[in-house]
Amino acid sequence: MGVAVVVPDEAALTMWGHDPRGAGLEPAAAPEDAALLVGPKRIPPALAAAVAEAWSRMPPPRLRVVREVDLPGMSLDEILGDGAPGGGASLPGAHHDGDGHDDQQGHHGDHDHHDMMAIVGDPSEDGLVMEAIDFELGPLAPGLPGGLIVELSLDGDVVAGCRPHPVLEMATEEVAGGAPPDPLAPAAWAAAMARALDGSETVAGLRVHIVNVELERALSHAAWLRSLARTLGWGELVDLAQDAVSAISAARAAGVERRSVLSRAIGRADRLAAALGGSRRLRARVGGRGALSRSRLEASGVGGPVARAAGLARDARIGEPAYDALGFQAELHDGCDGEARTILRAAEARSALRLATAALDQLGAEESVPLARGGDALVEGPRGPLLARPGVQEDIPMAVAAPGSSELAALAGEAVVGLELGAAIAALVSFDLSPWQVNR
Amino acid sequence: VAGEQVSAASPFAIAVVAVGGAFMVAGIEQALAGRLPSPAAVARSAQATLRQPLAVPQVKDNWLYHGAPFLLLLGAVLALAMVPWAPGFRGLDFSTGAILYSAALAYVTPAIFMAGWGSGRPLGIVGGFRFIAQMLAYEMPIVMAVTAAAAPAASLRPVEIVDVQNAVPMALAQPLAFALFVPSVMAVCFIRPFDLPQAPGELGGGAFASYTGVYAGMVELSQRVLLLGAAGMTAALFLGGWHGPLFPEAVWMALKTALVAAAMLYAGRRLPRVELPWLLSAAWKYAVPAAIVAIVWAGLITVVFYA
Repeated sequence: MGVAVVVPDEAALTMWGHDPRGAGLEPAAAPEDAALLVGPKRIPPALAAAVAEAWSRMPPPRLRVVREVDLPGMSLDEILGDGAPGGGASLPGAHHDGDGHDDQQGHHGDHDHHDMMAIVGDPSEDGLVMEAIDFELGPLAPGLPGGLIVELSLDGDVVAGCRPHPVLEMATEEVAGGAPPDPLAPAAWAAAMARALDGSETVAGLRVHIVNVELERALSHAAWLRSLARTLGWGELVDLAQDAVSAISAARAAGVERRSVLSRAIGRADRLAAALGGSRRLRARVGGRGALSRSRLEASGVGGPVARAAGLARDARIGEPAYDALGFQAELHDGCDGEARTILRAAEARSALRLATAALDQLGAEESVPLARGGDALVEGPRGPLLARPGVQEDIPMAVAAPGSSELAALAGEAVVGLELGAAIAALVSFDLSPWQVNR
Repeated sequence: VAGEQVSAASPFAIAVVAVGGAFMVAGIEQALAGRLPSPAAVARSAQATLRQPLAVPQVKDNWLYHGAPFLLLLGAVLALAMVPWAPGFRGLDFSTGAILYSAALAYVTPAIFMAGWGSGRPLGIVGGFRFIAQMLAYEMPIVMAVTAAAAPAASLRPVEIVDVQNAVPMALAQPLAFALFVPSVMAVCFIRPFDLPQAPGELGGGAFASYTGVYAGMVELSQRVLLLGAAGMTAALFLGGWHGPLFPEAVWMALKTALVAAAMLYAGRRLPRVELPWLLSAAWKYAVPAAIVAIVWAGLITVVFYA
């Protein structure tokens, strides 16, 4: 099994149909461990500097593996040049991770702990005046989604301040051309945009959208569970989640003849959900971590799995006739912490696969379902609601937004204050923040 | 120290056991990951690592970075040298060998802190600090469990502790000391679920993230030698060492060591990484008091059954 730096991260490549683990590649803990750099053909500018730095830290011999993914940005050749130091273009993206070094041929950066800013802070809870360590993790940091930057302030090993913010975005003109604003949820965006522009032409077309969106949700949740398991250093869960990812990926790629592949995927997702339900090991690591009060969540505009894990029935699918016809019921949980969010996503992955199966079974059914006729379209994506609004301005044919995503990032930052660094990173991961800025 | 037995062949024998044992541990790791154990694959991977150029952080304290792999390997090999492998095959046979084993493990702490600090990276430094806390918490349960295991033999010489188990393994006579010793030495080996100084998902390799080439090879070798020593000492102190029917003594010891190493690695796959606050709380609130109980129990059974 090869060890690779995966750009932007393992889950994103999985969503784009290039599962690194399925190809026998294990994400590296640090670039120094890696012999391969695997990424899309073009890299978003915000990641360019981080990719160049990761490449420079990889010991030779090193290889690049390019995947066919349609993202706007710079090509790897532009970023890395011929692989020689300084061979790349002048790079945008001044961000660097907490381990940031502009090293050259095996020599790390010429600075002494420069990426930490030590300041004398306020007394800690125990009354001691501690030195705070301020640094940034990301946009290619272990455990976090590629493209997310987390500004951290540590008081000893406890997080005193945290501000996560995404740095990736698609240009508006790309949206007009039909590319998804957040490429991690292409099927959900395709459904929202199609509905906003034209409405749904046929019941069968609507159900095909549902199949695609639900498979995307299941895959997103399973890939996220694998990321969480890696963050927690939980090898057994990585394997279980990988089984589910492989099976769901196969179902996504199988076209209309999906039923037999889907039943295998459902079996894997059931196993994953069963392993997590009531797991004391899961509770020991994420139970009570990243907790938010229900009232705080209710007052916020946050939706998606984070809200549903807290028992709030915020789901764009609720009350939708096409979903009602499939017997959809929103999964809800009764916790506000990392454990509840994990269990909920595992359950949602399972129910999403069942919904996809039901929608496939009804593809040819004659029964009538009210169809949308264009206008504002809200679709429940894997991380929360996605809004497409046609023709708000003459020069912008489509306005898009992920309502609640900014609030969610702010809430996640708040929720990890006071936790030890490792617990804080696991808790941050439990929010499944998107590294893509969608609101325009 | 009385009764030392160090032959001229000892360093060579220890080196052979260290390298051979590291291959065995790597093979167990492969098997647990669902792959066919292949010494050739391990050798190729080691060769590729050794061919890499050294990465050198340009920081003021980088002598710490250079010194850490050597200190880590020294501590690991010294710890391994205290393990009695067979009646006629002991690395270093000191009359205080069981305590010297714990003393050798103490070198691991400065080595990891030096690696983290010397790398000049925040996450490396966090990894180094984590291990200091981890070792401070678990060194005492290790020493107390060793003391409890040694009490029935009235000796700290590992060979004599093995000899006293010819009828009953110490794990049966002193289950509490056994239960304390195993996770404590796993914590010192910083293997999962106690890999806090490295924590791949959290700290991105932590204290050892910057190492490449020979240094990375030394770190990997050291960790496997530490695990080998921990498994060997567990077999010697608690599982009757080389005592067993039918097979030659060295085979029994090798089998028990391999099984303990496999069990430790398997636990690492089954369990998520423990959190530092939980780890420290478990040590100071439960493991240390329990170790005192284990010593009292050791005294009682020594008086009643072994005196």
